[in-house]
Amino acid sequence: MRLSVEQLHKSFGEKEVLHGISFEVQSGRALGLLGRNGAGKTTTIRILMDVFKANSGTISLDGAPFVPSKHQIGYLPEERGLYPKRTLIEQIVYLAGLRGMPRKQAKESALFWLKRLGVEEYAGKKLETLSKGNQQKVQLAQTIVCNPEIVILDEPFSGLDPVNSQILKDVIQELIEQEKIVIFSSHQMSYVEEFCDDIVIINKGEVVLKGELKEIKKEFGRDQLAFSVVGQSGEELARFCKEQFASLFAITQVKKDYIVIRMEQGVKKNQILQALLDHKLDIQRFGIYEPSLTDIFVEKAGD
Amino acid sequence: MTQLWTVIRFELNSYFKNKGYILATVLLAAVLGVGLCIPRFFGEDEGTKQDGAVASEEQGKKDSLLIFDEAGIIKDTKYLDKKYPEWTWKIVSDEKKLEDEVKAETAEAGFVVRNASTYDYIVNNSKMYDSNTEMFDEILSYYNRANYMNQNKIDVEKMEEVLNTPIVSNQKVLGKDSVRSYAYTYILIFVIYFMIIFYGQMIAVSVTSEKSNRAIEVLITSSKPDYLIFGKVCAGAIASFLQIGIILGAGLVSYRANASVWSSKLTGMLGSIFDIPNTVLIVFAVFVVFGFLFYSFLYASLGALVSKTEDISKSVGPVMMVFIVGFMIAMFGLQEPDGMLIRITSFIPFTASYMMIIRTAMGTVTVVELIVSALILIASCVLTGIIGAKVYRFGTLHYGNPLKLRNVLRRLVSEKE
Repeated sequence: MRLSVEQLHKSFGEKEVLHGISFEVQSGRALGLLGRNGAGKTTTIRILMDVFKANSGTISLDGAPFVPSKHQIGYLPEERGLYPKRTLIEQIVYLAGLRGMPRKQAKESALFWLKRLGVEEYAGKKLETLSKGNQQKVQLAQTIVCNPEIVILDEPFSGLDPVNSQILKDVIQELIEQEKIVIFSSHQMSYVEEFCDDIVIINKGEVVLKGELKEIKKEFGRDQLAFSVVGQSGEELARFCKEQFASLFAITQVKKDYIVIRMEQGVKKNQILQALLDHKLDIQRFGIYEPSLTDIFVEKAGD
Repeated sequence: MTQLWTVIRFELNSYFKNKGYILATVLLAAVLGVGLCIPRFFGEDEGTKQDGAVASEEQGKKDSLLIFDEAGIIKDTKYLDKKYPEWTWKIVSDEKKLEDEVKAETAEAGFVVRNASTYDYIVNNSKMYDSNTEMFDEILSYYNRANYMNQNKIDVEKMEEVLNTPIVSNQKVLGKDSVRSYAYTYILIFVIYFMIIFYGQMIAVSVTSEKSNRAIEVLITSSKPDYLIFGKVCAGAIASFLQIGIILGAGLVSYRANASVWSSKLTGMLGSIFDIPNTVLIVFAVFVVFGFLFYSFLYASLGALVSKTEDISKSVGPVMMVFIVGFMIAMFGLQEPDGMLIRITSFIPFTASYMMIIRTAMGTVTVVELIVSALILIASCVLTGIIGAKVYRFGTLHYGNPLKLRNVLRRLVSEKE
């Protein structure tokens, strides 16, 4: 399955908040939907789920217009919450019922997921009696109780300890392996890097970057090298290199104990390495620079 | 529709599992049911009452009343003992003795007769509802009359019989008996008031708490907002009608079972409460159902405008004010069911439920008027439902500061354009 979002525009009153959002996501490949707070991610998700109508633009599934009510969608919102005074089983079965699942099946599925997530013993307890981490698991259980074709997870790891995070990671990995369409939104870039094959970065209602994460990283790292020298901080090294090697490379980033440089046109890696050795620098690390997703995000979505 | 039923069932469960709801229903039903059984345990039938009248009166005899007559009008207590047997009448020889006995509380009170038209009433502590002077006015009048008749050789007893011939009046009501219908109309109005104010608030709280605990985020992506609001309102209606039904039902069953042991006077009063004409019941059913739904939609949409339950009172305040003003008008309207104010307000959806019941039970109303008012109320109810669903949808996605209904409606209109 391939879900395509094309040129979504949305205004609230006079203010346009989405200026033509487009991206694609296919089953078995998770998409990282990234953006700063207020960038337009939640609005995009709500349009996708038919909570809002877009002013213009289309959403299609395998080429046909996408009608959310005809598909099972599991949504874990960032603003989470369920009924604190109701039992886990009661509310999960209720939410499954709202999504059209028969009661008996909903109960079986709810118990399955509560067990899978390690909170089965609390099935008959009120939500408010559970710890924050366990409440989070209940949220995840309600998201996937209906065996959804499309899963949208907004900050699923917030508030989870490392053990619970691992359980959640396994579940998300399973969903991806089960060929679900997974849209993953998070500010914790390490998780996005772990799960997502593709990313979309939205900034101020516009897509500023999208594509395969591996390719994006490669593109961002093109002609860039990272190196460090024993006994020198990043700043000291940057100062020295600026004076000595201006003709060979430009410094793009200064980190705590290393620097990132961009080679000038026609300059080869070996030339730079030779130049460093010629200056009797005790090289600690030298290699092709692979940017982290955080670096890419800051560059694309930063002010 | 399945979704609607799912919402109704879930919401109903929350009422049925609510300890307050169960306790209130059981307690009120028990109080009413047991209360109407009381005469069975403490009361007595007419025959027993008559047989034991003297004994009971003897037992219930009050303290003494003393008389010091310096005018020589009251010579003995024969008449007084016969006419007012519940008192022990005693004629004393001087005023001081009378005062001492009253002060010592060996006598309830005393009368010092100065002349045929003047007496002093002596009492230790005066009471708010003391009718002894009225009684003694009659006594002194009687003695004056009797003395006059004796002086003129007129038979006192025969004359008294003529003067005090008991008059029996029978009322035949051709239209509505306001005296009988007053009690049940009063109760029906209170039932409406209680249902709307209590359940309306509960519906508003239910909507707002879904916003405050953020459950709404999942709900609106799982179901249509229309189903959510309609489900809530319908569940509120079912729960409230069920509760009222159980409470009144318990009262009715208990009354039927104990009607024979109530004294005839009380049976008449209670009978009028439970013996509501079918027309009134039908009007009540229609107007209470749609009036309830009308207000419930208002409460639900107003509940969606705020994100914290503590802000609800601010949001629903104006509607509650209108509702309470309507209630006050209805209370005054019970005195004048055909007044102009009642006639006008019986066509306004905010007050129609109260006023049409008053007019039907106690005043005059034509079938056409009833139908027109019902249609206005139903149309308003549908309109409030549609607008309420839109406001609910809009409001549930906006957190933070309370929204103003006027601004939300303006936004909805501009988005539609």
